[in-house]
Amino acid sequence: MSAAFIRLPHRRLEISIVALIILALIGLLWVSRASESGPRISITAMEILVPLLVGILAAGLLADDPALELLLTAPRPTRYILTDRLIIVLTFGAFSSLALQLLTNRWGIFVPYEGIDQAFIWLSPLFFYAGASSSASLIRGRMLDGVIVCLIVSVVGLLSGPIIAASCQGSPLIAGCWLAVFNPLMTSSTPYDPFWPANRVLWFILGALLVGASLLLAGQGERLFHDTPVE
Amino acid sequence: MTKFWSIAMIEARQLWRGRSFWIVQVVLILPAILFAVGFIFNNSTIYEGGRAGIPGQVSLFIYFLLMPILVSPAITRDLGKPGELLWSSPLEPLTHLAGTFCGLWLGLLPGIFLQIGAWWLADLFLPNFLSDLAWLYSLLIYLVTITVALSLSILLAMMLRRTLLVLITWVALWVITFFMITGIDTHIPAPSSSLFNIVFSNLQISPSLGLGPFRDLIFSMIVWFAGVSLFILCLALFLSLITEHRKSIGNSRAAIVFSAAAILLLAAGFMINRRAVSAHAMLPSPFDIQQEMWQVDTNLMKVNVDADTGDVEGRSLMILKPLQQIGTNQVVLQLNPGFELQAVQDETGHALEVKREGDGVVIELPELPGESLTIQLTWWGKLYLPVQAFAHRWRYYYAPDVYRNAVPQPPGALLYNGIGYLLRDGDWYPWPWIAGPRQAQINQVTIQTDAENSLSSVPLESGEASWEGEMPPVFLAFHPPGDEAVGEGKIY
Repeated sequence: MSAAFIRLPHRRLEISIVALIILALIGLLWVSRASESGPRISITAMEILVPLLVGILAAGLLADDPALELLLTAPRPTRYILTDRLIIVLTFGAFSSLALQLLTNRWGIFVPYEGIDQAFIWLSPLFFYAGASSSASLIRGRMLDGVIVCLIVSVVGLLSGPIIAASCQGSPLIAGCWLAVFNPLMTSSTPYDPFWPANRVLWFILGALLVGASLLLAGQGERLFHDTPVE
Repeated sequence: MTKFWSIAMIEARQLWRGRSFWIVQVVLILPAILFAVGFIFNNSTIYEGGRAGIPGQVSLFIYFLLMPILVSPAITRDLGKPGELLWSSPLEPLTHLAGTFCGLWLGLLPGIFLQIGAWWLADLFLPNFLSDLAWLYSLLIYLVTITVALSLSILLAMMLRRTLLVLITWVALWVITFFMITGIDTHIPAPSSSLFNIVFSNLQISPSLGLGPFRDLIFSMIVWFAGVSLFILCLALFLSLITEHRKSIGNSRAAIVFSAAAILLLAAGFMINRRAVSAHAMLPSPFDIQQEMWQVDTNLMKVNVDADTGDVEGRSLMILKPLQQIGTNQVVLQLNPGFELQAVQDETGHALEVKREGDGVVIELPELPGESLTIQLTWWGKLYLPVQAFAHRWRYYYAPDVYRNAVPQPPGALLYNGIGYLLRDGDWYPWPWIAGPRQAQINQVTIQTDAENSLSSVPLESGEASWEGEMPPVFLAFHPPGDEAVGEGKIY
């Protein structure tokens, strides 16, 4: 948190608000620990909400930075600056999700999988959201582009879950539903599908590739300038 | 007024010129396409039971989520360098805010028509039970939701002054709203969350009844959200004056009228909502309902039904036989809370004392019941329909710290605007609490009605139908007037 405050001075308020939201989520989790909605809240928080918030933060790491001109004139390449900031934001997201995961287990809330497998509930979407949002915002240098991508991914993921489940109705559970591999929010809809590990690996790799792409895009400083700043 | 319209037109044009507006519209059309494609390729719909709902409700939920992307830049832009220009101009804050709001609202209108149009096209491929009324309600709900979302986005953007901050807060608000209003399978919005149910989640429109008996609840929500929207705009106006000391209120009279109207509308919406909620509250049953303790040996009943007004008047003679030892000198019967048990007499014609306890009536006997008990009952009233009668889940205590959801059976009787039905196992006539069907050893039931639209399981002669012996599950049904084509079906 302190690293985020020092290295990301222009996003202190945003990070504080995200931290408050996560604290509220922990409170909500505690309140509903004995109810039927406990697992739903835990999975939604770990797989959707924290990655989405981190993704939104990642959209504004370099794009629409108020000190952009200063950053570009500094001898340090912008891709190093983005790497720094991405590490901070991803670490913040990872710690928050880990805390949610540990508390979920400690309070006896049932969520699918155990140990390192369980960590992939949040790890894959976290990387994917951060990578997709960061690279989308750097294509035109507009923070809102990254945010729109994040929200669209969430909406499509939430909507496609039941549609995919409906399309695989009738097929034996053990055979799985290969279409579900393409849903980044698979744990929320079909967590016990045999394709779940493949889904996690796919979105994790895709996320890592997108993070790499955003670092490449960060090197092209001219993309970050546009006529009408939105913030 | 010229300034107001100039601002409004500029805001609307700027919104349409932005790429994000059109990207958002494409995203919002996606659910309609996905549902249609999903059905075409799989011949199944994920909302089998929900096709009588508000069309486009899914898109509306997403529109609500994406709203600050469209609205926030318009507000934060005016807080930057253009704000200096605005300050130096003779423009009043109220005119500016009203112009911005109206401009954005008008700008969002084509999007609303586009979404509803997309759903209309998608519905050509989907099996549904949507009446024309559903599309009208859809438009109304879109307008209400978008108005609230717009004003809330404006307030947040003015408060937080940074787009990213607004978006993060908005996502959290959206998730909270999502959790508060979804997850319950119902046909109407849950009254407990109706003040937050901004997208009218769970609302389904009956092709014959429209909103049905819950029209008051939906109307109260519309008034409430209109009030909320105006109130939020007032807050935004005063906030802009607080954060920008250089500004003055300008036309103070207009601002006061605006604020008073907002507060009045908000208060009225709240009061109407509370009244509507209490009008459909679940009433408790008596402490001891004497479940499965009585058997009805004889039931001779005559009922008069006025389907138009919903009035039901009945008289019955019941001979009850205790199935086990009754420890008290009381008989507890189930009777809809809307009915008043006007007279209760024993076999000698002696009046018995009776008191109403929630959805039951407790009859005081002069002594402990013997081998059989004869009572004559006269009741009158209108059906009271609690929200739970419409398959609303409620939570019940299961074990320490564990609560579960229960889904009750649909109502056994319904009379609304001349349409409805009377089922054998409904609570529209008094009967002991039993789990099985309401059958007596000797049964004779006569129902009289003047309604021309009534259908009976036995022939109706001069508006009178009589049953003897084993009772059918349905006594009477009152069908909607005329035929109506609904989706792929037809209501007769």
